[in-house]
Amino acid sequence: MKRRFTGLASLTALAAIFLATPSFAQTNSAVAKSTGPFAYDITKEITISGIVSSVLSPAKGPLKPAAWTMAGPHLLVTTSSGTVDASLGRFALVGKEALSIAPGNQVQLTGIMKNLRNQPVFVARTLKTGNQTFVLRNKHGFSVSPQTRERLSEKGVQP
Amino acid sequence: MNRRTPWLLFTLIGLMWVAGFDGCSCNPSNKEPEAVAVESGSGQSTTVNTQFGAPLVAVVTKNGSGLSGVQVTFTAPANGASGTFQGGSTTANATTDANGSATSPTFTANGTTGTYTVTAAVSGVANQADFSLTNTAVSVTTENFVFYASGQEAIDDGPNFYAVAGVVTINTSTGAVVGGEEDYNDGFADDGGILSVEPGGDSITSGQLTISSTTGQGTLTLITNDPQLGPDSTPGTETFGVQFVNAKHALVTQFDGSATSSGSMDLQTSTATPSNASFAFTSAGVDPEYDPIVFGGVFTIGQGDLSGGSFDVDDAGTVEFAQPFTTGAGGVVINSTDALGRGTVSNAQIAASLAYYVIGPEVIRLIDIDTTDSAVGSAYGQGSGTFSASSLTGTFVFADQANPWDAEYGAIGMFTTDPGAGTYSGVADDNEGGNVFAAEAILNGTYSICGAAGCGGNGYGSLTIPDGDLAEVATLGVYMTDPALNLNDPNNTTSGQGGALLADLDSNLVGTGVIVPQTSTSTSDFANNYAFGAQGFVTESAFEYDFVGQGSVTASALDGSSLISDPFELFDEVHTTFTGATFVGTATPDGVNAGRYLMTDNPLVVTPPGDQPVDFMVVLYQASGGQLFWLDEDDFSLWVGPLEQQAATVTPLAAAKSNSNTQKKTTK
Repeated sequence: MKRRFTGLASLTALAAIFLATPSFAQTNSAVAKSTGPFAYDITKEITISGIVSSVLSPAKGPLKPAAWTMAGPHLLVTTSSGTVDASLGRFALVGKEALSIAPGNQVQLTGIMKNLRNQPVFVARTLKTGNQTFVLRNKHGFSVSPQTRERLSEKGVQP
Repeated sequence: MNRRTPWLLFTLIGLMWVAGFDGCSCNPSNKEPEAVAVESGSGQSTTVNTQFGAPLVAVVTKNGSGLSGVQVTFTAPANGASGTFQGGSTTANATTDANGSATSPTFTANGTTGTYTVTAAVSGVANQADFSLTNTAVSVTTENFVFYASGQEAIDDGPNFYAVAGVVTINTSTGAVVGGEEDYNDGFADDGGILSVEPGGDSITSGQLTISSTTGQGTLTLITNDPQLGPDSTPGTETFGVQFVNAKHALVTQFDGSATSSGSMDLQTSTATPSNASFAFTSAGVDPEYDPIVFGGVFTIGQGDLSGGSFDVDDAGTVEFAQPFTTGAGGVVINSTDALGRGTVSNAQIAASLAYYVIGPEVIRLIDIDTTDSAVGSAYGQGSGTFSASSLTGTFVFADQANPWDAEYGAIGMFTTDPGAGTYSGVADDNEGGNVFAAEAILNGTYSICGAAGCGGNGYGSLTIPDGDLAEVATLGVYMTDPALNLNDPNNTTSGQGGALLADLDSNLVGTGVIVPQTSTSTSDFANNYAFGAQGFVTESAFEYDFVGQGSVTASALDGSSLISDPFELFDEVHTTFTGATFVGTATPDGVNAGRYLMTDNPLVVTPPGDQPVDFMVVLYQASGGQLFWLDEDDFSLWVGPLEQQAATVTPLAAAKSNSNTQKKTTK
């Protein structure tokens, strides 16, 4: 018996997008030394800007090969240097005070570039759209949960 | 004598015959009985709803002699403690025999306990005979089991982290739950989350343990007084999937669609408040900002307080080592246990308040009961000796798994130490969020266990993996436990003892685990029946699923059946639980590292009933024939869990034990 490959076509298409590595100069030098998805070196942060072309959000079953390399929703962002796959952290689009984002939105992302499974991914720590800034991860790269957002918001503190 | 004399005699004789003269009396009224009395059967007792051992016998007399042929009516109370005669009536008639004895039909106690009187009466007799009988309560044998688990909650706008721990009293004849206590905490009760009523915890009022006598698999339903718990459709009722390894130890997962988790359940052998003993501990959960947090350390309990100890903490990447516990007055306060072995801790430092459940003198489950944070963990005794680097001498298997809240990863491996040099070498596997950076990674690193000169040999230590050798797993806290304790199965006193607790103290990873001695890598020892389980995550969403199961291993091939808890509907979009999911796969020795197996060429095929099969690429490490660990190395999923060899008896239920033994004899 073989693992099901439902959605393989979309995975292939997605991979093709990812493999079109953006060519902006700071990317290569900014790739984190650590290889793990959870490693986050805040000193390597960069900021990129662009237009959201797609919002990718995990779906419920059936289990199938992972379409992307970091948990939670991703954005495909068209920058002046190409398309960037940006991970928003697992809780960005769920719970209270969740991020509302849609294709066509202008965004500014601060985070670090990684290579995971030979695919470049931008691990976003903050996202700015319009006048709002969302904190998606803490300084160690842990996702900011809805409960955290709410508690810190009540305290008037940015996560 | 004149001629009339014969006729007079004949007349008198005829009158006597008509009167029934029997040689004792010439008066017809003398045939009536005078008295009825108890002959035997009074003073008996039996358990409710069972038959008394002897009948009730009354004797009817006249002038001290028994009268035959007299009807006696036995009457039991119509209400309360009583019973019924054969046929179901509370009254019955019997006729005296030649000795004047009347024997009642069989008499069966009703369901009410108490002492009462059954009367025997005879028409025309003023007195009655009173039989005193007693219905006694059924002799119930119960056992207490302590359970704990943590995972992700689907209710209450989940996913949320949650932890649960408790003690449940089970009638081992019927499986009925007759009582218990528990604590449940999802870490944000200050803002609509769920926390048991503290500081007393919730009560478990009833429920049922239902398990197969041959596989040890089944469910435990707990009915509580807290309507917040369990599915919305059955407020207050939780169901756990259970997989017994032996009569004293089970793997558990919440199995009702409201949440999913992994943990264990173990026979309680003591309820006493721990005192004057040293422990190692780890605990994992969420902090007041709902970020993942883990603690690990050692402590010594005095009398209601701590007399020493320190702990490490990794709070969402911010790590602090060897923080001292506050001892004596003004420090940690350990309050006494109740009758079920539950106690609380105030000013605990790793939380404002903890509840704890005693399994035995050296094993305690801990749960954070604060309104703004949550965690669950264990404390294991350290025995009477002291520790040093030599305490970790030999070859060991380790398992390190993420806190179920964010940054999901798993790492398992084995290593051999050189205590003199404080070094080790080994091999390990690692899956971080579906990224398998380290399969069969070669490890060469250092470790230390604080010796007598440094900290009194309290077993506090660490193990360092050089940067990148095992992806982000690099800094582990090591806390030595009693060499006589089996950390997976704490009531197992014959095998698998020794080792240490682990806390992952990396800036990117937060997790806990164990180190256990490796005593056999023989493939022939990896055989017979195993209970297994794991806490899994789908890597794209990081949502959790769990399973507990059982199967046979023949020539390293597993053929099992499992309960899968899937409240986030990851296997399909219909079911939140699966019963009877098949687990089939062959573990092939990797050919290089004895004790390391792969289920890759022949992957583990999991088939939930009614669904398509899913292949999992799995690596296993064997500590012994008794216990192994396995890691899912897929990109779409990762999980870590134990495989524990099952005993001949896989149930604590007396009736089922008997069936189990019978079946085994039949099988042989």
